Parts: sequence; structure tokens; C-alpha cells
Amino acid sequence: MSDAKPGCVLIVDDHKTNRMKMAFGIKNLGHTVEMAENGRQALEILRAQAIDLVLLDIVMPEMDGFQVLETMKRDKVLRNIPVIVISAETEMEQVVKGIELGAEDYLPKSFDPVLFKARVEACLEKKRLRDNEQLYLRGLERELQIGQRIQRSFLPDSLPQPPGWEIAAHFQAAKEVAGDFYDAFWLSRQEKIGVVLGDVCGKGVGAALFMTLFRSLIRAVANLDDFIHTDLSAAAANNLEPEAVVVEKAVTLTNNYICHNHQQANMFSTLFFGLLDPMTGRMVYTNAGQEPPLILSSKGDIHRLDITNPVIGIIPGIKFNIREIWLHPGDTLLAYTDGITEAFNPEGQMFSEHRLEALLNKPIASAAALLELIAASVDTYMGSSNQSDDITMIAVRRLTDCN
Amino acid sequence: MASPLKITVSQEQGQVPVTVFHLVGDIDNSSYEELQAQAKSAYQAGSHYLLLDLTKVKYMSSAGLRALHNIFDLLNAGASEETQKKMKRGILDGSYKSPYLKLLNPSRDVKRTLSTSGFDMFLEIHTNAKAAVNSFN
Repeated sequence: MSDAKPGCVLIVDDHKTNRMKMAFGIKNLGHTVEMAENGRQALEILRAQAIDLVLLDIVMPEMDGFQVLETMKRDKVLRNIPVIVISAETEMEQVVKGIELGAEDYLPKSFDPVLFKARVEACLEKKRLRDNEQLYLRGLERELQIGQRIQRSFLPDSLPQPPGWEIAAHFQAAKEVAGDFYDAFWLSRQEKIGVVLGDVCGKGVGAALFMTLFRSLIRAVANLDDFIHTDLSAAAANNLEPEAVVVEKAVTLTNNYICHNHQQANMFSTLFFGLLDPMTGRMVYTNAGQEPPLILSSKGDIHRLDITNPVIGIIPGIKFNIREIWLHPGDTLLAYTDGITEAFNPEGQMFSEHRLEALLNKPIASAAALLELIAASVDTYMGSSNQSDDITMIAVRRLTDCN
Repeated sequence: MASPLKITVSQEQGQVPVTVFHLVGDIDNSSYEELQAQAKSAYQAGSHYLLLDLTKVKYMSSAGLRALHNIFDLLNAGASEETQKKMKRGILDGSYKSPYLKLLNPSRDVKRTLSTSGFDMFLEIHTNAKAAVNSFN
């Protein structure tokens, strides 16, 4: 008997003598035995309890060995149980057919003890390895699901909706976890709204871990005056504009933090960070290596914002440039990651800017409807090809008086 | 539908010996590690000047940028602390481009990726192979 846990072996044979011989051999090896006289009985046992190996005779009344094999291989659970076909030395054709139908091995009815032991133990070992692999995969899947759930909690549950404004987002990960992120949050002491969109390089778990870091740093640092109970009106007293100070401080500290503490990880992120004053429509922003967001006017004009800086996380000490824009009634700001423009169709062509812009020359019903329209168009364009990158958008729309 | 990346390597002699990676295919999530690994092997085998020929690269994702940054750091690893400090200051005032890693003939799309991300701030982009090799010193 091997050191491994004993297995449970199902013996299927219509001849009692054969069943007894095999049962004796199996018990001698330290394993437990279940027995069936025909195929029908065998399937009943297989469905009722955990079996590690089947020793299967071919010629039997009611349901023969081939039918058992075929049924087992069609079944999602039973197909993983190894089968050894039992056959007379003269019935090689049956053995070949059994192997073709998915049997692991065969044993002659002479039941030579050395051969018997070798084949039974080899099949049980294979089953154990397969079981372990399944267990491991299920564990990984579970971990990934937990990761996914936690990561989603780093994206906002709901977005601020100040009077006269509409803010909507769309997020569609390419894998279980994503490197894209978006955010919109009130800066309570200033009555301003932070609007964030970023894309950490790469995909999967590595990008996802850094996504949580970038997103948290920006949100935390932008709100720093709340945490440390200072008032940014002090900035105004020094001729510094509070909004610009908040934006610059948030991206500068985040950039330097990543550069100094995570240089070895070689991870960086694009980042659009705008601070919107919903009372006036003015937005102060910086755009670090992110696809330039678009402003759609109510008249159908499209205007692109600037790229103000390289991606964050690679150049320590860099000075971030701050710009401003005004969103007038009817204007919509649309920020999106390259998962939109670099979505591939089955022919290997990219969706690109011109297809995106072509969608934007019609009047918009709402910010959410605009994002749905873009997402559906990209989805149709990708067709049967896999989504190769995360797709994320955020839209900020200033309603007109008649809205 | 990504096309897999093929890398062939040649050695050129300019003012200094230059290793040229001729890349064919896409530099994306499935290929960037291969590019990094090949650059590392070349560096360990003594190559200090690397030119990436991007003529036949149609698409480079952010993972490709990550590989460029990784190789940039790798080739700078031997520099003294003083040189590293100078380099950082140089990047900030726009006066520094890597003397070790340069790019040749990026497509319009790849060039756009390089400029959007700001990588063209510290990587020289050449359009002539001979001039590119001779620019290393």
C-alpha cells in the first residue's frame, strides 16, 4: 500500500468470481471497494458516492461497459474519474475501443498481481493529482473573486449629482480585476467635485493592486485639508488659487509617493484629475498622459483638452501644469481610457478616435445614455474578438435651463 | 486580434557598439515581458547601448510602455548616484534623453502613444537607422 490516502474503487463485472478476485486485490492494496453487476448499477453508484477509480468489464447484460464509458464522459463530474477496462487477452479490439472512448488503461482478466497493482496505483495517483489541481484552481478562482469584489469597492458606489449637473460612469474590466479606475467625489469643505479617470499600465492583478493605490492617494490627498483641519483659504491669502492648489498637491504627492516608494515595481498610471465648481461650471484640471478628454458643446462642436504632463509614477519631482476650462449649459465632458479607442475588431483594426467622434455629433439625451451608446458601439465593433483592455468612461454634463 | 512579437537582434558598430532589436508585431500585455527579458539578457551579455527598431510594430499598449521604462531603468542601473540625480534634473528641464536606449521609426499610432504618455520626454526618436546607431556615444 502506498503512503497516500486510500481510494474507493468501483468494480463492475457480471461474473461474481471476477468481482471477488478484483475486490481481494484492491483490499490488499489498502483501498475500499464498491461493486456493481452491470452498467446501470454502476452509474447509480457513481452518481451516489465519491469513486476514485472504476474497473470496468465490457460484456455485461442490461448496459455494457462501452455505454457506461460514453455516459461517464458526457457527464461533467463523472468524466474526471479514471476507468480501467477489464478484458480477456484475446479481445484487443475491445480494449482499443475502450481507450478511444476515454478509458485510462486496461487490465487482462488473468489479474496478474504485479500488473494489477501497478495499473491501479498509477490511475489512483493520477486521480489524486487531478483532484488536487481542481482544488487549487477552485481556490484561485475564489481568491480572484474576492479580489474583484474588493477592487470594485475602490470604485464609487454612487456619483455626486449636484443640481443642474449629471455625472455618469461606465466600467468594463477585460479580466477579473482591472487597472482602470474612475472616481467622482465631493470635497466637502470647498463644495467642489473631484473627477478622476486613470489607467494603470498593464492589466490583471498587478495593475489592480496599483489601481487601488493610485485611486486612494488621489482621493485622500485631495481631501487632505479635511484630514488635517487646515483651511485652503490660506492659499488664497497667498495669491494661490485653492482649486489649483488642491489639484496640484494631489497629483504631485501621488506622483512622488509612487516614484519614491514603488520605483522597483515599474508601475505608472495615466491620470486625469479635474476639480469642478458646480456653481460656475469652471473646472481646474491636470491631465497626466491620459487620452485628452473631450468637451461636446450643445451645438455639436468637439473640443479636446490638453495633455499637461507625462504619466504619473515615473518622473519624481515633476511640476504638474494646471489648466482650466468652463463647462457651459449643454456642455458635456467625456473622459475615456484607451480601451475604447484601442478596441480591436476581428480583423485586427482599432476602433480609434474617428469612430468615437462620429458617435458624438448627435444630440445627447443624458450623460448615461451617451456612455451606453459608446459602450454598445465598441461592443458591436469588437464582435467575436476578446476585449483586450479595460474600458472606462466618465461623463460630466451641465444641463441647459430647459433640462 | 494581436499579432505575436518577434524579436531579432543585430550588432552594429557606430561610435560605440550598439545592439539593435528589430521588432515585428505588437508590444502588448502578452509580449512585453519577452521584450524585457531579451533586453536583460543582452545587457547581461555586455550590451549597454540598445536601439529598438519599431518600424514593424503596429501597436504598443501601456504594457509596452512599461517594458520601455523597465529597459530604461535597466540600462541606467550602472550609473552613479550623481549621474542619476543629474538625469532626473535633466528630465525635469527637458534637457535629458537616455544615451543608452533609443527608438527607431515608430508608426504614427506608436508615436502618439509615446507622446501622450510623455515617454518622448526622455527617449530619443530617430527615423534613420544609420544616424540612430551613430548617435550613441
